[in-house]
Amino acid sequence: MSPEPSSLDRPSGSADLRAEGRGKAQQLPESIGRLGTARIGILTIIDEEFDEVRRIFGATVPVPDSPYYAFGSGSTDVVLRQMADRSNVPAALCAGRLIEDFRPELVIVTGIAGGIDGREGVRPGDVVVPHYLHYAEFCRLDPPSKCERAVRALARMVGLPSSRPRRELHRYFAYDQPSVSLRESYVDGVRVDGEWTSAISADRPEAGAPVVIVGSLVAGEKILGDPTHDWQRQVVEEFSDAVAIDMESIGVARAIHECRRDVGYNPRFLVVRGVSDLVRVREDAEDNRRERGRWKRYAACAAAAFAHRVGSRFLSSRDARSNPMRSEGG
Amino acid sequence: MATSGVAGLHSELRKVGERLEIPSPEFQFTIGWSDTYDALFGKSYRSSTSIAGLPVEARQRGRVILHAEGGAGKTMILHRVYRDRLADDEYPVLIDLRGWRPPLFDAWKYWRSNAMMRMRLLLTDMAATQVDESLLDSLPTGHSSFILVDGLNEVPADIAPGILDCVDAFARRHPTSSVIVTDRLVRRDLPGEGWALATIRISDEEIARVRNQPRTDKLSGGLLGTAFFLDLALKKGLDSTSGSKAFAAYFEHQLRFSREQLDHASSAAFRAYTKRSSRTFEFREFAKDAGEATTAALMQSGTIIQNDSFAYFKHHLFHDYLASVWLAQHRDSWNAPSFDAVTFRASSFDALALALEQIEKPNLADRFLRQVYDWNFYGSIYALVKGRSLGSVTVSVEMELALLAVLAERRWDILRVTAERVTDALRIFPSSLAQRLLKAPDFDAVLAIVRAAKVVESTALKLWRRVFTISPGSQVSDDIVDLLRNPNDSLVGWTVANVLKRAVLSNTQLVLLRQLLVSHADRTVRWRAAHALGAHPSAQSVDALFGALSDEYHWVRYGAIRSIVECAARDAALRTPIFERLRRQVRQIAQDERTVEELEKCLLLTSPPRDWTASVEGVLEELWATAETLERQDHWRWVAYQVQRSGSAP
Repeated sequence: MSPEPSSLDRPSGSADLRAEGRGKAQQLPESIGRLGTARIGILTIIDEEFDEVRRIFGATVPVPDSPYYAFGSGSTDVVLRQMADRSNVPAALCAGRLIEDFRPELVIVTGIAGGIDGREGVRPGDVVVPHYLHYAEFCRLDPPSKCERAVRALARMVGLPSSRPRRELHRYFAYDQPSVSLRESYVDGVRVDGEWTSAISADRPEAGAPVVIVGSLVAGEKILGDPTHDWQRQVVEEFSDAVAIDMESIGVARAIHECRRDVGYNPRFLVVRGVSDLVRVREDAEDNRRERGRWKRYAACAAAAFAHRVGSRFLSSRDARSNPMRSEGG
Repeated sequence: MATSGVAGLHSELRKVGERLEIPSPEFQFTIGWSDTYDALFGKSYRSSTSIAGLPVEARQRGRVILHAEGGAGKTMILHRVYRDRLADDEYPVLIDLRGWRPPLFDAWKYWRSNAMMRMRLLLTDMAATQVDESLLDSLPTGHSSFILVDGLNEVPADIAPGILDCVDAFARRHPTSSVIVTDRLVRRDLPGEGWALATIRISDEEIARVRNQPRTDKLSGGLLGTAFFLDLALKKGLDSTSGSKAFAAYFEHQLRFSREQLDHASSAAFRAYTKRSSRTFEFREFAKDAGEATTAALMQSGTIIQNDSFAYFKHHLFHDYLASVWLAQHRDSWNAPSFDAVTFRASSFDALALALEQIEKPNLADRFLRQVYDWNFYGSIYALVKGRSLGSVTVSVEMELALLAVLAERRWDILRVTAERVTDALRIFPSSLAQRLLKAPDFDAVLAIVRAAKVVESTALKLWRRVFTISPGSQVSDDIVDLLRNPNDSLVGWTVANVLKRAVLSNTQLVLLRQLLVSHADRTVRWRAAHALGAHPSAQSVDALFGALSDEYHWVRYGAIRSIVECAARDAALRTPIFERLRRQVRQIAQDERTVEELEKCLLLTSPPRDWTASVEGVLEELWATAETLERQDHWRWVAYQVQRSGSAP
């Protein structure tokens, strides 16, 4: 399968300013990052995601002395970076650095996630594009007593939500939500026409076709991959509208929120998650790992294919870099 | 004064530039670049450049920290960067942290959750040109600002991390701006990613060039390899064999100070440090202490610079030297309060090194070093490193062997922070013994080096060597355990504490250790007992250590929290109950800043067990959940991430 002809295949008009930016001050455009500018900045986490995104976006040119890969020779329409690690802390660091280095108009986090069984009919291989991000850690739970644990276990056995004590944090931080305008302008269109699936490079482990679900996603600090873990079960119960779970979106969302400080730079934000496994209330951790192992590559490729199609359409829009908004100071 | 508009800003920056002192001839420094502290301390640079490389790297990475010892030329380099950036029509802003004054503490603390307001404090209260951050946002296209922060080591140790945080955030907000920070040669916990690490050296060729003499090997490793002393040698002819002798010659020949004047000035300099914990001081107070004539001489020579009612020395080494003269002469002040005062609570050890150089009798030099050792382990090492690098010290070879061996033993410490610090110290120690100890593949090899060392042993050193060379896993006699109580010899006392960690102790000896921890009248003995118990985990020891978290002496609490974590690391069965107990006591522990800070450092182990991350999780979660500010929450998130990373490292 080959990706559709897209604006990603055309040469970019913007030069990589990295080499020129050294030494004496250059005449640089506004809203420029430390290493140049890019229209789209993409962050991935695991190797399978990174490899596929690099392939499908053609982001194969290493930016010297940096962790980035760029699309095209000497151009910076798209830059790609694999995060140093899982979880929200490195995600926030990498996103902050991406923004500082390239000032992208659009930041995409793409990769795999766990779907929550029974929500919106989500299945492995589907793609979740969250319209809302919950942060699980804003409510933490006191460790339950033995008695409470027993009651909760019983409640789970009969399929009822279990009640438990709850404690609120002293402080909350603000973070961005995925951009409504992106969903309206690009995501819904790509989702409806369905052609994006032809760009999925991996073989599907079982018959069927991926579905794109726009729903909410809950992110936490822990490895939310162990369905037997109490905290994961509590998260699933607490956020009853969430379709998927991940560990990085909030870090990126917060970094984007914190970079908004003037009208000259107003990045948009998109999360695209391929579902590699389902979080079920009653399931063995080993089963979950097995399912993830089976679907991981396909899910990563599906997310990358959808993100690529959205990115292509986005790149067809006007390149604001050719029309600097800000006036010179003085 | 505050500036108005970008044009006004540039004009103000130019005025500052005209006042900056840039000595001539301008030395051609070599900047060595690294991305990690291990590489920096190991002198394994990824590249070397001239100082022209500083703004290039700063622009690309956003943040550079330039590490070097006092007098190496860091300020001189920043001034040259300032001048060159200005000449390129850029906007350098100089922040001299020597000007940090006690009134700033309150404001700094108040804005602990607001990095922008802290940056504003730096830009308005500390910068040579007051500037509003918004002005730096509106520079003409293609022009950038450089924030040059001089002397991170000049502020108290608990302030420095906040400064790094706020300049890091500044660089993130302003991709066309760059930050260069200078600091002494010490490992910092740098925020975020992307800091470039740099250090300075002057080559033998450069020393020969500026002196107009043939090249001489290895001068760069000595006094003349330090820009401050090379400059003194060129301009004042003060080509001395040691740093303190160069200063003595300066005050005697250049300022024509009498012995009495030197004593007055040194007393005033020492008092200035003790009174204000800062490089700046009240001018009138100083003049009253030093005498009018002495102060006038210091002023006329430009050694002291007055700024309104405050004053400071033109280089902090002049102040350090004068304070060291007083310290070297007053043996009754070789104690923690004095050492804290002249080092800014262990932030800068130059004054100790200079004092050590002035102590001519070996037994007194050894005694001074023991006193420093009792106050701060690293202080004694750095004083000796500096003394050996810049000249001559009369510390006995035996004492040096003992200090370095104690240092080397801790290369295999279970706590990563300790293992890293001692390795860093050995790396910069200019002796073949230090390098051999650094290369020793295991502790047995260290013991072999100590056993084979041919030294003339005093009675005290003989005892030390006997104790130190007890092999790991040996049983020890009660008289060795009893040495823990030795009030007269801190080196032996602490060596025993370390030996007891690696020895097999009887139940009776363990009971004794717990008794010492709980009830010994001497607080240092309680601290040593807490230290030793960490290697002997048991429910009773853990109980005693938890009790010691309420000890009135902060170093006992420090030792107790380290040993509690060490017990958890060593004993899988105790791990969960210990961390559960810590979790329940988090609120209480969090009241004590030093203890909680040490707890945080201890959570990173050299070789964590498989379940370490999961075990620690509850405590970190509790610290995070009970944190009262967002900044503290973020801090604990960061610590949790570090623990997670260390747990998954191969």
